[in-house]
Amino acid sequence: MTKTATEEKGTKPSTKKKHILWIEDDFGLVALYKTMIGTMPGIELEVITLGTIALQRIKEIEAGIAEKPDLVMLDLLLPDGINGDKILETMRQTPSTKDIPVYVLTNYGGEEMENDLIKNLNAEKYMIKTDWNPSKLMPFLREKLGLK
Amino acid sequence: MDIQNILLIITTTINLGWGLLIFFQGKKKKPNLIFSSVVFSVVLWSVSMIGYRSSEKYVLEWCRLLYVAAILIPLAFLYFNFIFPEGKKTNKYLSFSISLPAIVLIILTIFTNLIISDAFRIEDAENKIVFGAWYILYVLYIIGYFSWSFLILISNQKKYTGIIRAQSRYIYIGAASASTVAMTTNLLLPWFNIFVVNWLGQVATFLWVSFTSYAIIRYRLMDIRIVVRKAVIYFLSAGFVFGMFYLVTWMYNTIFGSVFDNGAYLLGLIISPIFVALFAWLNVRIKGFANKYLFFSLYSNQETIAKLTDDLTNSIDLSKIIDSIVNSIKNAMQLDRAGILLIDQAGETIKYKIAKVIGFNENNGISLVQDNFLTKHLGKTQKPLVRDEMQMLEKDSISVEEKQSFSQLADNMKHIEASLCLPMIISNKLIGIIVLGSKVSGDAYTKEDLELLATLSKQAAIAVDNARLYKEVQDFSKTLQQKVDEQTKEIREQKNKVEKALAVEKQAHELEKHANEELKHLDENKTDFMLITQHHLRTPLSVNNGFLDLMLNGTFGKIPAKIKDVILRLSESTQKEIDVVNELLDVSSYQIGKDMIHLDHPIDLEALMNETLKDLTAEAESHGIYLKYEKQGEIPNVPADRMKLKLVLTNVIDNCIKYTAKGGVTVTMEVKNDKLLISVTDTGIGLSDEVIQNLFKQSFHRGEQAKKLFAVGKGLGLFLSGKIVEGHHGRIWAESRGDGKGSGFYIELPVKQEINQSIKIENNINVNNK
Repeated sequence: MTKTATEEKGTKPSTKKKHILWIEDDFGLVALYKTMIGTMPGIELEVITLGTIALQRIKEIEAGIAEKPDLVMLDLLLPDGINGDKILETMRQTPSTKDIPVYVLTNYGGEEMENDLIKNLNAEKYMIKTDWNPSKLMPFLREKLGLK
Repeated sequence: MDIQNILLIITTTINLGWGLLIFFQGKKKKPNLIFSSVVFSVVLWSVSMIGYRSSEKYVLEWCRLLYVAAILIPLAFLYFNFIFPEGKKTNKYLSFSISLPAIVLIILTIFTNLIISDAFRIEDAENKIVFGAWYILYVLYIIGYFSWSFLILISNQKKYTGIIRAQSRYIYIGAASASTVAMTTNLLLPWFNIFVVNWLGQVATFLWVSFTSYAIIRYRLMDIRIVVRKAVIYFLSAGFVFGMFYLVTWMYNTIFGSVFDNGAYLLGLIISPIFVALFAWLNVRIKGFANKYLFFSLYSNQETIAKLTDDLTNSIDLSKIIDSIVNSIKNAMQLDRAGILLIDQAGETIKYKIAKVIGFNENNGISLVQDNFLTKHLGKTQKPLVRDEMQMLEKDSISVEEKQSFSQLADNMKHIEASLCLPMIISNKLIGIIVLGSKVSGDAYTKEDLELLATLSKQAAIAVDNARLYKEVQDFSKTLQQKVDEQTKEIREQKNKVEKALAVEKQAHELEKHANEELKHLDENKTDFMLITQHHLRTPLSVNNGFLDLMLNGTFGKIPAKIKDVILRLSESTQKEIDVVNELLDVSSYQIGKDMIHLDHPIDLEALMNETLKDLTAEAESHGIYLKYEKQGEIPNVPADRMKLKLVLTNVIDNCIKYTAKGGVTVTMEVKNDKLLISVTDTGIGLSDEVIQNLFKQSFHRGEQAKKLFAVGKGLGLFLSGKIVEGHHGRIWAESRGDGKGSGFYIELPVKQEINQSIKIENNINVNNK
C-alpha cells in the first residue's frame, strides 16, 4: 500500500490533471463545456447540475470524502432553487473550500449580484457566458490553472 | 310828596320791571321764579314804604305790611340760595323749617303788638314806630337769614369755578351792600328811635339790582339773555321821566303851593324846553352808556369770532359744527331764529337741505331751499343778502326777470321770517347758506353786524367744508375697511382652500410616495424579470455561439469551405443577437430610470478617447477604413462617468465605422466656451433629416432609410448614448450633408460639473410616469 502510495506520489504529480468543478444546469452548455474541456489536456472536468448536489459535495470535501477541486466554475441560476450565490457562500464558510478560486460564469447580468459575489464572497471574476465563447474561455482557464 | 318818595317810586319801578323780566324770561326755571319772588318781595317792601310814608290814616297798617314784606325778602333770598345754581330740589323739611319762623313772625307782626306796637305820623319828619317786646326776634330773624344766605354765597366761591363763582360773587356783593344799608337804616336805627333814614333801605336795593343785573348781563345769571341795552335805555328813560314829573310837581308844591298856580305855569314854560333838552341829552348819554358798557351783552366781535373759531377748530363732527354755528350766531346776535342750509351733493340736481334750524318753521324753509335765484345770487355776490335791502336791489335791477326774482325772494324770506341770508363760500363756490331771522330787539342789522356775520360765515364755511371732507374720508375709510374685511374674508377663504389643497396635496404626496414605492417595487420586479429573461435568452445563444466557436476553431476537425461560410454567418448573427439581448436589458433599465450617471472626479478624456480608439482600431482595419484622432488644443479633465462615457464613445465611433465603406472616421476634441466638443465624422452613407431627428429619441420609429441603416440593435446603442450624455448635462446630435456624403456625430459636455454628484438621468421614474 505504501509502495503504491509512493508510486502514485512519485509518478503522478507531473501528470495529475487539474480538477475543475463546473456547476451548470443547462445541458446544451454542459455539452459545450465538456466538448471544450475535452480538447484541453491536463484538465479533469466534473459537472454538477443541481445546487443541492453542490452543497453536498462541499460537505464531502470538508469531510475529506471528496476531492478538493482546483477551480470552480459557478453558474448562478439553478433549477432546484439552491443558487450559485448560496453555494459560494457555503464554500466560503467551509474551511476546506474557503480558498478555492471560484469563477462565476452566468448569463444573469444583475450588477448587485456581481458586486455581492466579488466583494463579499470573494469570487475571482464575474463572467457573462455570451461574452465568453470557447476561444476566449480556453486560454483563460489554462492561464488560471497554470497550464501551458 | 317828597324827594324820598320820588326815589322810592323810581326804585320800585325799576325793581318791578326787573322782577317781571326775570319772571318772564325764565318762568320755567326754578331759580328764576324764586329770584323774581325775591324781587317782588322787595317791590312790596318799597310800595309799603311809600304807603307808610304817604298815608295819613293807615300808618300802622302800612307799617305792619312794610314789616311783613321785609320778612319775605330774606326768606325768599335764602330759599334762592339753597337752590342756586342747579335749581336742585330742596328738602321739604328744610323748606318748612325755614318758612316756619317767617310765618310765625308774619302772624305776630300782623295780629299782635309784640313786634310792631304802634306807628304814628309826625309832620315834617319820618313816621315813628313803637316796637313790641319781641322786636328782637324780628331783628335776629332778618340778620340771621341774610347771614345764612351770605355764608352760602361765600362758600360758592370755593365750591364753584368760572361763571357760577362770578355769578355768586355779584349776587353776594349786591345783596350784601343793599341789605347792610337796609338793615342799618330800616331795622337797627329805628330800634334806637332813629327814623330819619328809614326809607334808605328801599332805595339801596338799587345797588342790588345793579350788581345782579350786571351778573345777568355779563355772566348770564339764571340763563337770562335780555336785550339789556334796550331794557336799560328803556328803564332809565322811563325812570327819568317819571322822576322828573314828581320832582317838578314837588317843586311846584313847595314853591307855589299848587301845581296849578299861575307862577307854576310860567315856570313850566321855562322848565319844558329845559326838560326836552335835558331828556334828549340824557337819552343820548344813556344810549352811549349802554352801547359802551352793555354792548358785550349782545356780542363782542372778537369774543364771538374767537369762541366760534375755537368751537369750530375743536370739532370735525359736521352736526356739532352746524349746531355750534347756529347757536353761536343766534345767541351772540340775539336773534329769534337761525339756521343753516347745506348743499346736497348726493343727487344730480343741486339742492340745499336744512342742516339745522332754530325758530324757523321747517316746512316754510323748504321753499327757500329750492329757490335757485337765491343760491345764484349768493354765489355771484358772495355777500350777505339782507331782506330789508331787497327793495333797493329790486329797484336797481335792470331786467324785469331779476326784479321779479328779487320781489319773489323778498316775499319768500318774509314768509319764513328770514331777515338775512349769509352765503358760505369755499373756493368761490357756494356750499351752504346761513339763514337768520330778526334780532329780538327788533333792531336792523348794522354794518358791524354784517361784517361780523361775513367773517363768521367764512369761518363756518371752512369748518363745514373740513368736516365734510373729514366725513368723506371717514366714509372712505369705512368703505376701505369694508373692502379690507371682504378681502380678509376672501384671503381666509383662500387660506382655507389652500389648507385643504395642501392637505389634499399631502395626501397626494403620500399617494405618490406610495405609488413611487410601488413603482420601485415594480421596477425591481421588472429588473428581475428582465434579468431572468435576459438570462434565458442568453443561455441558448451562448450554446450556439459556443459550439459555432468550437467548430470554427477546428475542434471538430477541418470543415469544408462551404460549411465554414455558413458557420461564420451563423456565428455573426448569433453574436448580433447576443448584442441585442445585452442592449435590451440596458435600455429597459435606462427607461425605468434605474441607472445613474456617476460624475466622478474629472477624468482624462484624452486617455479615455485613446483607449476607446485602440479597442476599435482592429474593427476599422477589418473594414478597410481609417480611424484617426485629431487633437485640437489642450483638453482639460472633465467630470464624467468614465465607464458610461466610454460606452457612448464606443457606440458612436463603432456606428460610424460600421456604416463607412470607404474613407474613414475622424475624431476630434476641442474646448469652446467651457464646453468640450467631441466630433466623430465619417465618409459613410450619411443620414437623412428624419433619421437625424429620431436618432437619439426614445421611440424607435424607423423610416425607410433607418431600416437600411440600422441592423439589429444599432438604434439602441445610439439611444443609450443620448441618455448617458443627457446625464452628463451634455448634448448629442447628428448632422449629415445628405445621402452618401457622410455624417457627423457631436457630443458636447460641460467642462465644469459639480463634482461627486449623482445625477439621475432625466428619464427617471417620476418623469416616466407622468
